[in-house]
Amino acid sequence: MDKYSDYSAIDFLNDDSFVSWIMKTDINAVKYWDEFIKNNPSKQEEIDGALEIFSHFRVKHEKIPVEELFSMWHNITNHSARKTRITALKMLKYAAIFVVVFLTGALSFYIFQEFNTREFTIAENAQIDSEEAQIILSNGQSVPLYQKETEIKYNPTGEKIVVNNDTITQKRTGGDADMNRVIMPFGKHSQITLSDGTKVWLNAGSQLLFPSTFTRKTREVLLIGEAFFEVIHNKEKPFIVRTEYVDVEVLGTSFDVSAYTDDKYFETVLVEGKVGIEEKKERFLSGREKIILQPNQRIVINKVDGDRKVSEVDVSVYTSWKNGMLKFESQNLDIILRKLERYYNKKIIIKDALLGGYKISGKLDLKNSIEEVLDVIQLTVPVDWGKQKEGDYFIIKTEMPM
Amino acid sequence: MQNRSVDNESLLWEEFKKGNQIGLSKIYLNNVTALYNFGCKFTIDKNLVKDCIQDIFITLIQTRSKLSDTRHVKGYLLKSLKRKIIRELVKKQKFDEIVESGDYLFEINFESLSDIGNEDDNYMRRAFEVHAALESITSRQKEALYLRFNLGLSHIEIADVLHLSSQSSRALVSRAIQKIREITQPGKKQIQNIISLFLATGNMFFNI
Repeated sequence: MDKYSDYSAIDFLNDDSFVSWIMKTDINAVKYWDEFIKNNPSKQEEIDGALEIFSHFRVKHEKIPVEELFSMWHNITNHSARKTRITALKMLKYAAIFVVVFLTGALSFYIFQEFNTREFTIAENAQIDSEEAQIILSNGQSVPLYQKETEIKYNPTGEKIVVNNDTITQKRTGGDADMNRVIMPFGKHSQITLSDGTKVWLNAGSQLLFPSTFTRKTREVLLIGEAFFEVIHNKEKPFIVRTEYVDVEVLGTSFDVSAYTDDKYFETVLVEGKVGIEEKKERFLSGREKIILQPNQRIVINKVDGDRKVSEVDVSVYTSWKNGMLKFESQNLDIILRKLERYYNKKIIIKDALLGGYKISGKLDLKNSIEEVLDVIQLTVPVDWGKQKEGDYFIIKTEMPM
Repeated sequence: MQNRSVDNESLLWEEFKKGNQIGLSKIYLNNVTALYNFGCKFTIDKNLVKDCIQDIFITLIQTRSKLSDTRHVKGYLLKSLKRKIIRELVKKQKFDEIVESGDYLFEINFESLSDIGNEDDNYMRRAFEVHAALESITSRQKEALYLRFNLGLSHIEIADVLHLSSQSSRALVSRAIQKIREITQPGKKQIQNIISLFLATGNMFFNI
């Protein structure tokens, strides 16, 4: 702190950390300077001076349309592939990975654009800490969420938000930029009631972006990860869940959407009502197909090759996580372990890839510790689990008695 | 000082060097808008800028195994893009047989944002004066200011892009800020400013 005590406006503008604070490019700097200003009212004048000077140096920011970002990256990868000697098989693998990453990136890009139009700082460079559970309000203010389970409720005007037992108020800025964002890291989950009364259970490792109130023709939210929705019926305003790979449109219904960006599959399970799934084919650009889902149906779309399967399922298997249970029917061990990793925010390494192919049916109580859950798994398939030095868990094949 | 975004990017860079192209695609998405905006300051030919951006990324993929580690990915990319664009421009000029010194211009208009959400008449008057004052600064200063206050670069990174020492980058930025400070805070603290400038230059010599 002492270092800054006789800083002038000019000194502040020459300080890298101070500039990171103004431009919100570094979360640590943001925290530090917010605190600094609170504690050092005597520096207010110089800081205001610095901010004014900064404002004079700002220039108009040009954006490249998202489609163009895609086609440019497409050119980059195609071009370099032609010149470097990569086998056809490898190429195919790369191409597949790219499509996934692409969409992931584009989505966050889209979010940033939506999110920051009200501000004139360069938003694309801002990094949001997704390791910390938080709500980011429409004014950019971030409210940390400390509990493992959080309940968040927006009132109909979107100005009052109840988090567990605390109430936050926010001034509405109005318009499209009036976006809120809830971030749940791995190991935490929350239940959100939107301003229209729709309930959303947000699973671990997920993010939801939504307006304070739904002023547009459609009620649109953006989802990264998994959530269970109970949508309030409103014929005039269809509810749309946008994800990186598909859009899910609904009238009034409850369903689960699983759209983790690092998963190979997009998945939706319908409990009741009716939903339409619209695929964003060919990197958003062309050809949209709509698939209608009936209750108790599940659709799985392979994000890599576009292959999709609709099947009748026991929906409780897919929605049990919101009640702290994990149910499954002849599910592969590796998929189950992946879900556990997210829920407990722990890494589980399968030492022998073949073990991932074991199929399990049953129910796991996620209120138990991860160790207890792994013990239960151990009873059903011939595996052992252990803990590594770094706190990661591993799964190995049980030694057969000779 | 910890800088999370820098750390993240240098991690992605390392990943990419190990052969993981996802790392590069993330770097691309993080930086492409900044690169584009920066590039457009050198030429009005936007397609040229886009081509150059693609070229520098293609080069990265092709020379992956030879790349060195860098803490400042953004600075590195900006520098590469600048070099590429200027090279292309010089090539074109030769082609068109336009004889020029090879100097480049950094065209920038600091005026465009001064009307944002500010109804304060005094502020508007100052903004006008500031704009007039900025007309007279060198294109190198403009470039430094742009890198600092629009792309958020550190002094080390600015120095890298401008081929300067980081002290000179600091001095370059300070001089421009000083000029503006005199307009936004007329009369007041003049002496103090002179003292601090003196101290700043003093430090500079000291560091050399």
